[in-house]
Amino acid sequence: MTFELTPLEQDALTEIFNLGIGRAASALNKMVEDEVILRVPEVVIIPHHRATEYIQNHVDDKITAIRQRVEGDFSGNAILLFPKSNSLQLVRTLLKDQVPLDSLTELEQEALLEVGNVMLNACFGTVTNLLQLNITISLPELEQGKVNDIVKLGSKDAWALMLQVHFSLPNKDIEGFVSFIADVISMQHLKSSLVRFVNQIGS
Amino acid sequence: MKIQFDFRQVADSLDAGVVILDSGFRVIYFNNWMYARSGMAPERVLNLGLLDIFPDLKDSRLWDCCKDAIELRLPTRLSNSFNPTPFPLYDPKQVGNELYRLQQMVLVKPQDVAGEMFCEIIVNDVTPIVIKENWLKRIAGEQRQEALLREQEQSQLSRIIDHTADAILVFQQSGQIDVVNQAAEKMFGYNKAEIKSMGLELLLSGGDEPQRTFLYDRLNLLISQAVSLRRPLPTQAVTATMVRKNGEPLPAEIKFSSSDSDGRMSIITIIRDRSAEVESERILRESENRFKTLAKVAPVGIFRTDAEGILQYANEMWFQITGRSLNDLHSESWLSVVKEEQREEVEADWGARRALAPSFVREFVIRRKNPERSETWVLCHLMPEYGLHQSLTGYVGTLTDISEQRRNQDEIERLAYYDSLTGLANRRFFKDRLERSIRECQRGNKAFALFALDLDEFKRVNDSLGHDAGDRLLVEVARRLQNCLREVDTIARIGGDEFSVILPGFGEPENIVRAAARIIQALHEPVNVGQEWVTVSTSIGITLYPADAENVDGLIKNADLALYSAKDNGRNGYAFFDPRMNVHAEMNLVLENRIRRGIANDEFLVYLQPQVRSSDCMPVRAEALVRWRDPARGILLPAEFIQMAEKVRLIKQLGEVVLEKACSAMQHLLQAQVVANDFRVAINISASQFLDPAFPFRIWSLLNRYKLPPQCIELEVTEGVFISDLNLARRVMSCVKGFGVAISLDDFGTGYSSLSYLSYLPVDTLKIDRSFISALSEQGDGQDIVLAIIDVAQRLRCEVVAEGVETEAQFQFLRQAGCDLIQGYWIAKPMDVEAFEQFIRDRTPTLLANASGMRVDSSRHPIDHLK
Repeated sequence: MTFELTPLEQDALTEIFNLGIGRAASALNKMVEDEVILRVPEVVIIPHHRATEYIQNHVDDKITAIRQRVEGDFSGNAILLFPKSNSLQLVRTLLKDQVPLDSLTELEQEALLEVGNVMLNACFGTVTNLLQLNITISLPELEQGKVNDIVKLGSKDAWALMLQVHFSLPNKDIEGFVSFIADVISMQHLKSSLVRFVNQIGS
Repeated sequence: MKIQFDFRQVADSLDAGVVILDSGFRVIYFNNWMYARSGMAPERVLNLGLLDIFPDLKDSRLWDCCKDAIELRLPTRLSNSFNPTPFPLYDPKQVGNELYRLQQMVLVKPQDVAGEMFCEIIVNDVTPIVIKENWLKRIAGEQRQEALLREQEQSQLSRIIDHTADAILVFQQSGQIDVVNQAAEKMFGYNKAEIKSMGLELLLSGGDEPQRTFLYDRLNLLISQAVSLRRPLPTQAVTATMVRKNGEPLPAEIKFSSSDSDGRMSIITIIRDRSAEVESERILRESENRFKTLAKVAPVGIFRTDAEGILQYANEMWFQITGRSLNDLHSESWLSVVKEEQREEVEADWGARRALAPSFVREFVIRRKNPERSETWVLCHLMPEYGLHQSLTGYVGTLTDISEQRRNQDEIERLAYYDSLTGLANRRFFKDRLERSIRECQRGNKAFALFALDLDEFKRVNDSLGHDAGDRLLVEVARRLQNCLREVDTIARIGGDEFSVILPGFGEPENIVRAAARIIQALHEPVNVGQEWVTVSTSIGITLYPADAENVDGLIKNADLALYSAKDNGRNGYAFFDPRMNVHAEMNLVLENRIRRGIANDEFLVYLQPQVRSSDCMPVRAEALVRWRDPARGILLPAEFIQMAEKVRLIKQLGEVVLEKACSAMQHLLQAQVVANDFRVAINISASQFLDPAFPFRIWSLLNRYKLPPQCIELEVTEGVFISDLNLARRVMSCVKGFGVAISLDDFGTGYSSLSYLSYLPVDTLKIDRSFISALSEQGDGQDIVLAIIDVAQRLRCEVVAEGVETEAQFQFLRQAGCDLIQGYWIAKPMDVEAFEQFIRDRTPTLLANASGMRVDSSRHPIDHLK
């Protein structure tokens, strides 16, 4: 089973996520004073087990994740992941908070949740709208732990849609990942919707 | 219905706000929590648009999220950090008071109820959490700041210890070395571990055994004392010779002190490397020896004092210059050699400058115990000497005898500022003084007077009696000026016979007049100039600062203008500057320059106009008339420049030229035998020329120089001569007539003076003014006046000359009336000497050649006639 995309489909998918990320950036810029620039260099669809490796290649073991569950035409988990230190940096940079506590406070966690919420909403709200997928999304939840624990999903057949996200803040750049882990059926749904979308553009 | 009821009951019991919007963003539900905290009544909420109820939400993220929920079915968590207080909600007891606005965390959820979208908003009050976290953060911040400071302090301390120049060793109670700093490693050449293992005893092995034992014992004593007393000991220092790893001895100063740190006593040993100090002490000793040798052979006086200035040492030369004895050392201040009158000033100067500059330089006179023939001036240099740590140990100074230099300098100064002949200030000094007077008067709002004066007859004395006599006269003038002026007045000789005087603080204006009068009188007394006695007069121009001018040039110019004016008004007087003088001066300046140039370039010449005897028309006389051959305008008649020459006071000079040229022409005519000895040339003499007391002398020398028989010369003067000074005029006339020279009175009948002077003055000839002659063409009065004049002349036994005769009728009338001589165009126009020569030759083919002439009597001096 493979979800190989044609170059045109690949371009379309990257473009759709870029639109979503653009929305996220404008929402973030409304929240904070400094200008935040978001970039998505690539979007890949890979088997679930490879997704864990993919993330581990980029991130050390401990991560902070914001998860929202998706149900409907397209079911699975949308997760935004940061290395733990990055999540601290991101929140405190956005909040301009100089206080050097070792872990996120309750309110900081909330703030991080909102950032993740903005990102994930923007990505999936845009994607599902453009691809005319009917979905329901839950409120975000915060998780901390090892990559394996967070990115796990029961089914062995699960696939993951991965995007790397660059947060460019005035004084630092922070790397994060958006991962969407879904079963085969959901992925097929996504793929066929994408094909339809590309064809509509073509016609 | 039942479900809905249940929902409301649940919602109202929640400790959170619940708001439900329909798809048109109208509020369809507001729970009690919300009513209580917003202070709203249901009628102001229900079925109203969210933005109508809360207009401030319009640009908020909350509003965006509501739209996302309805339109995109997206749920959102709004954190407190990014959206602190989206709804205007307050503590229920303080609704509306912004101080009690609730900190919120908001959830926005889409709700699909049978295909219709609703938006559910849950509001949580997180105010307590915000307060708690802020407090936590503050505490954490403070702790971190403290930790940071402690860390900095610590690292700074250890840096200081490492980087201090002294070696630091810390001993524990056991005698074990605990701490070794970097400087210790550098100083001894051993590393820390080596030093720790060696201990103090081995490091001390550079010195002798007793020293080592002593110090080691001392350390042990200190340690045991510190331990037993349990309190720090006072710091004590000892010097010792230690040893470096390379075997070199290390002169050092060791200080032990104890410190109680956390109940543990430790001995801190600070070791200072004294090698540089030992070296500098050696150098100091050597330089001290060199200094003493140098001082012995130096050609200047050298002395040293202690910090208070008391003499400690002096070389041979110092004793010679000051004339002091060894007894003065160690008791007297170096200032005691300064002359009493100067000492206070020198001391004050030293005191003032000591603080500002290291070296003190000053010239002064040496105090001599026995008063001497001449003062000893010295140049003194004084410098402080410093010991260790820049502490002042005393002063070292030199005295150079500069008496000789001083005398030379005084002489040079005198030459530069004083006139060598009279000893008065010279022009340069005078200008300095004038400038200084102006500055002083500006400050003090005071006035001063400036006199410009010159001697009216100086040139005469110089020319006739020689420069020695002239110099004697000037010296005497200077002396008299000094006698009749005050100390404060500046008298200067500007050059030649020009003097200037600055009179400051003159008080009443009459005082100036009095001073001027005093000068005039004093200078008018006869002066002995060697063989002769001469009398000179002086004219003074006076100007006042600041009334007349406020700068040097202006004042000098004014004084000069006033001086000219004084001369114009007749000599031996003074004149105050009048602003009108300036205008005249400028107008005449151009013309004056031109006439002056004309005189210098010899542009003036003499024309001769014949006078013939009325009886036989023989030319027996001629009048010399001046002409100006201006290179630009050709020959000019006197009418075009004489008046101007008078105005700018050049008439006298011009008259001299004419006199000289006429004499020269006469000489030529005689030598060429054109005329005989009884031919006479009439020369016009201006009043100023004639009334110059030197005038007869001038005539005398001209007669001699041109070898002219005196009867060949006739001096034509006008009535003006008598009007200004009748007595002087008569004296001059008597004098020149005594030479044999004739006098004629020009323009007779036009003046307003009485006829009486005619009997009183020795006039030879009267000239009827041309206006009477030109009036002759008409019948009547004209003839009568001319007849009357001729009658008067004949009665006074004067000859009569008619000038301006242009017609034969005039000539005939005059001849018949008995007029002796006729001059005018009818006879001949004025002509140059060459043409005149021809004219005479034509008229007198048989010339009288027996011209032996009268000789001038040179035994009689012209000045004698003046007295």
